[in-house]
Amino acid sequence: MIKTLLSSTLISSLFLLIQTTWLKNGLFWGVVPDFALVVILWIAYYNRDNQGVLTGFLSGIVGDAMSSSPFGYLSFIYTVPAYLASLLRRAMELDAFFMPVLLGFAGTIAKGLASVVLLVIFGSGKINAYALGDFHFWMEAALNGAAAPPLFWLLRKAKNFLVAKRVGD
Amino acid sequence: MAQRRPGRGLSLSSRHGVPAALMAASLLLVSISTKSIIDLPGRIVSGAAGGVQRVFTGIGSFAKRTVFSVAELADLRNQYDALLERVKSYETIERSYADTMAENARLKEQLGFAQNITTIKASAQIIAKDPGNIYSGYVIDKGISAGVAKNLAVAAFQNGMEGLAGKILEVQQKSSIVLPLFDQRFFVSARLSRTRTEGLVNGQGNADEPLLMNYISKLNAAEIQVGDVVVTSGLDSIYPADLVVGRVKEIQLPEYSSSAVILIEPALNFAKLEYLFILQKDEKAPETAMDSTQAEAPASASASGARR
Repeated sequence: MIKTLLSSTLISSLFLLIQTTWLKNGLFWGVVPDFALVVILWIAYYNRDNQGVLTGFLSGIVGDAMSSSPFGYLSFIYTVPAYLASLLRRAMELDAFFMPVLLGFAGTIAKGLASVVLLVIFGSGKINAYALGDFHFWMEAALNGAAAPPLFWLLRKAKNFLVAKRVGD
Repeated sequence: MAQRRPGRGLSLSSRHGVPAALMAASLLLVSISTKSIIDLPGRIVSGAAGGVQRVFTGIGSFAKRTVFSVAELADLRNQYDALLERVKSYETIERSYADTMAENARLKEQLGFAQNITTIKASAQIIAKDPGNIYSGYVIDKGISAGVAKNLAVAAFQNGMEGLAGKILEVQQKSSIVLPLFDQRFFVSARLSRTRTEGLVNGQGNADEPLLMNYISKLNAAEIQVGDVVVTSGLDSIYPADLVVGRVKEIQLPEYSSSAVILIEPALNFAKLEYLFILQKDEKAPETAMDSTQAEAPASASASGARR
């Protein structure tokens, strides 16, 4: 599990790096898609033993180090959607297109709500959050949904490194 | 159906225990990094109430905006034509303003003003931005090794004008994070260049949103005009005086308050920023300031210059 946890954290951190550098000016209307979140959602969906949640937490810590956000901020807003995605494992089956789109879109909404929770707790003087009524937020959700099918397809190719096997699997 | 083992409850090894523990750990980290752990319980209660109110207000204003926006569309065409005319006149004013600024700089130089000499500590390139869309920090390629320190002012040149871009938030050995002007956590003491009225400017979290200037009495606001230039006042310890912040976009006079709220269009186009200049405010005489800068950062001496 440690090996797959490290691989998945590494991959999501790599996407975080891409977001901060190559995509720093955004894809559409200055909005940066959150590929790291999509990776975390995939890891959380396919892994047992909270590996996805741990990946979300660790990737968030890495993201916090690259961000002007307070330390712990991204780790929280990545842990929440990862946890929700891990719960979906029993409830739904992933197909090639529609479910990934839905997961990417819903994961972004969960991330947005988690940011609002932090805003409510700590106040707007210290915390920024998504404006859920803002066009940019929904644009990010749409971009993440659109990015999910190709990214999921790519991640399936590396399933051996990213999904922990259990005895009997 | 999964059976829960007796006695395990919400232990760390349980299905929900680990996520809960990690979320709690994240909250603890945020509490520590925002220094708000002491008043956390009070904030949770008041924050929850305030959050509900914000949601209700948001829903209400959204519905109101939607209804009124239809009526507003009819007026927009007329306003657009009128604005085009005004833009033409502003362009002329802007050109004369740039000339006046240049002349002012020359005159100041001749008069030998010694106050508020600002030294460019380093010039830096933006190499990365925040990973998400919530925060908007810029990562620059200069850090402690180039003499950059926390809370130094950051400026940029655009269209022949020097404007305030933000301040240094975090500094590493070879890189730093800049908090941009439009971030909600950014505050700067500023004044209207023409009327000399002072206020406090802060961002709204988005480069597309105007900055807010608060604490201006309604009496003083009567003198302010749309298009007036806002500059830093130099009254705080971070920002040098007379750095351009932006221009007045709108003057709001809320009925519930004795103060006016001034909406400011930032002077810089943040979407086009590539290079930034880290400034150090120095109250010393010019000769002394120059000596101390050379002593502190010999490596960056070639990139340094004095600016009034």
